[in-house]
Amino acid sequence: MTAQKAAPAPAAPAILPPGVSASDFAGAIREFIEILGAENVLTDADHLAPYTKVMVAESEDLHRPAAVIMARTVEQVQKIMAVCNRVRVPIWPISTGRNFGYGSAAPQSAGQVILDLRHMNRIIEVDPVMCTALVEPGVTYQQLKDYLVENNIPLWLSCPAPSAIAGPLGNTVDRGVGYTPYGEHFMMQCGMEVVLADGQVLRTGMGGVQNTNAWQVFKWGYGPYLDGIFTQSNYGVVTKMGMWLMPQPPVYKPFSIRYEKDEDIHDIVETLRPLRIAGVIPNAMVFANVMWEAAAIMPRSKYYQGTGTTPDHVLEEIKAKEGIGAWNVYAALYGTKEQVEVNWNIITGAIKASGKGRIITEEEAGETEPFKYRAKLMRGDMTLQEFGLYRWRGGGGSMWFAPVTVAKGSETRDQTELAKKILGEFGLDYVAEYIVGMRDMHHIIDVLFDRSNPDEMERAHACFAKLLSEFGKRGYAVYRVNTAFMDQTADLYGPVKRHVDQALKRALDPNGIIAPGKSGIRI
Amino acid sequence: MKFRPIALAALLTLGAAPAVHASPTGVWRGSNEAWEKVCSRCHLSGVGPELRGRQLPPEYIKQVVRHGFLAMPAFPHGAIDDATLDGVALYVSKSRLNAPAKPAPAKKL
Ligand SMILES: Cc1cc2nc3c(=O)[nH]c(=O)nc-3n(C[C@H](O)[C@H](O)[C@H](O)COP(=O)(O)OP(=O)(O)OC[C@H]3O[C@@H](n4cnc5c(N)ncnc54)[C@H](O)[C@@H]3O)c2cc1C
Repeated sequence: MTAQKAAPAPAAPAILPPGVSASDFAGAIREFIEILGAENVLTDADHLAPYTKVMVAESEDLHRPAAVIMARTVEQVQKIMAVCNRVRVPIWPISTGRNFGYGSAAPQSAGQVILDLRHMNRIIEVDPVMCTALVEPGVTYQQLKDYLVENNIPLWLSCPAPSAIAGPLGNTVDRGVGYTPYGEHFMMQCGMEVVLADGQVLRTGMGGVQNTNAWQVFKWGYGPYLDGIFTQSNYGVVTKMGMWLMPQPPVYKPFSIRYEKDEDIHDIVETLRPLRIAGVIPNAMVFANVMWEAAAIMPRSKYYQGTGTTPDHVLEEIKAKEGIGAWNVYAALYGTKEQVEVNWNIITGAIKASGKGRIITEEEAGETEPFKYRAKLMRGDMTLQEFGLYRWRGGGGSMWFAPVTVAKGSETRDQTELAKKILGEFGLDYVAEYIVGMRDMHHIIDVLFDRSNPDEMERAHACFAKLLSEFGKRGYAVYRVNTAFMDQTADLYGPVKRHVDQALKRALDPNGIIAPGKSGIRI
Repeated sequence: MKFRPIALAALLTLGAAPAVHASPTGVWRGSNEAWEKVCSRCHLSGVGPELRGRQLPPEYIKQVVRHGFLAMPAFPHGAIDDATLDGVALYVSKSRLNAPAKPAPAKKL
């Protein structure tokens, strides 16, 4: 990167919400300014630029916002809803806006107004006794971590890999995952406050009960459980979220297991699944492949100067010279010394009995990467090390292809083979990890491409579409997807699901003002 | 404090007043903190390019932060305000590089 190469700010074409006249939109902007103050209504190219940068394989013009507005209070969000309903201005809510590889901060379609809640960032409560927190959308993991440390509260977070800049509310409402025993974040969420399109403020779970003190401890409340419909959806703007935090254990023991062969993925799953289901391995462990590991420590140009798919012989060389496995397991134990010891013996016994896999302890790994950042993630600590993925091929393009996998060896083998084959057809790499959930695994493949190369970007787009359809034919679908492929993904879940999603949308947001197109849902 | 609607109302009013915020309230204490807790995690670890000792013009640095650049994410004003960014840009621009940034040692066991 040199000073000469810096791209000048592209002048953002003035863009309007679809179907809204310039004068009506100008009127809406004036009203937003009245509600929020001029400094919180952004319309100039310079201020919009950060919200326009995307990593997905299509033009940013398809995701260009008409404006960005920043609210600080629930009342402001309510007033914004009234304006949007009247003028039919669509708004795209973001919390910390770091949804990299899923669409970043930009809306699903051009001309939406981004409602940025980054300034709504109060940590409303942390209860050290019940181990719960209640936060606003703009709170970052870093901020919450600092709060815990500075107040000497021995609780741990669970974060996605870009922990230092993302936030719990945005991550959880998009049903993101982390790496601790609390890694399935939506499962550990408890109670929400949601501003609905009609301006009503809903509190879910126990939250509607006057004087309740159980909002953050009992998820279900009474009657239909509603929190789920406010995740990966566009039925409301979430303005508060409760969550459970993990007590810091007396002993924390991260470890890695290295496997030499690609096909070992089968035995890894068969050996470790029973331990995960039984709770012997309590965390959302990962099985990372050679390229994911390599990317964490170097660009591929260190071993390969070509374009296209990295040849297998190069990967073999990297494995041998860098000491990286074909698959690399990261898991951890948490508890008292005695608990950890018992479980450690069970795990080492199981690995030994399986006849493969080399265990690497924290003592052996020392300060080396990627062990170090994995150990941080498994205790919910701050890191950005995984951005190393983007120097593997360079060019800043990334889309997560993340099919759900049944935690069975045979299925991982099939999915891995299929993904590798399709990526290879388009000259791309199989850079992958499995994140182990309670019964499922998220098979996370980073479709990396050079976004500054139009041909490669086009190939990446075609590749992603094919991954979705070919996996779909075999009964596999992704758990979450970027803004370019939300409709294709919604189709995989069937017409009835789409119909019900739409019926809910029409009931809760009849003018379709909140995030049209999110998860393929429109009025 | 247990959360109650009344307490919340109080918090909202308090929060509206401009106060000297500690970092856990979500406002950078200064450019140093932003550099340490965000920028340096990539630019001192070998994940992103080394920036120190290159006399990069502050304007250029700010431009890249606001617009992003290839893999470098763009940072909006809500994530880092102009004054804090000015400080970061100046710091990076004037920084000296005594020893090159050392990426954490790769694993070789
Ligand atoms: C290297 C790398 C590694 C990653 N690893 C992980 C990982 O381990 N796990 C993971 O989950 N992700 C991962 N990601 C993806 C992503 O960066 C994170 O999920 C991140 O937490 C999402 O951004 P955010 O927290 O700022 O949420 P936001 O961007 O604020 O929100 C995400 C989406 O949720 C919706 N939303 C947000 N706020 C609201 C609201 N208040 N009301 C209604 N809807 C709302 C919007 O549709 C928004 O686009 C990774 C990305 C990178 C680059």
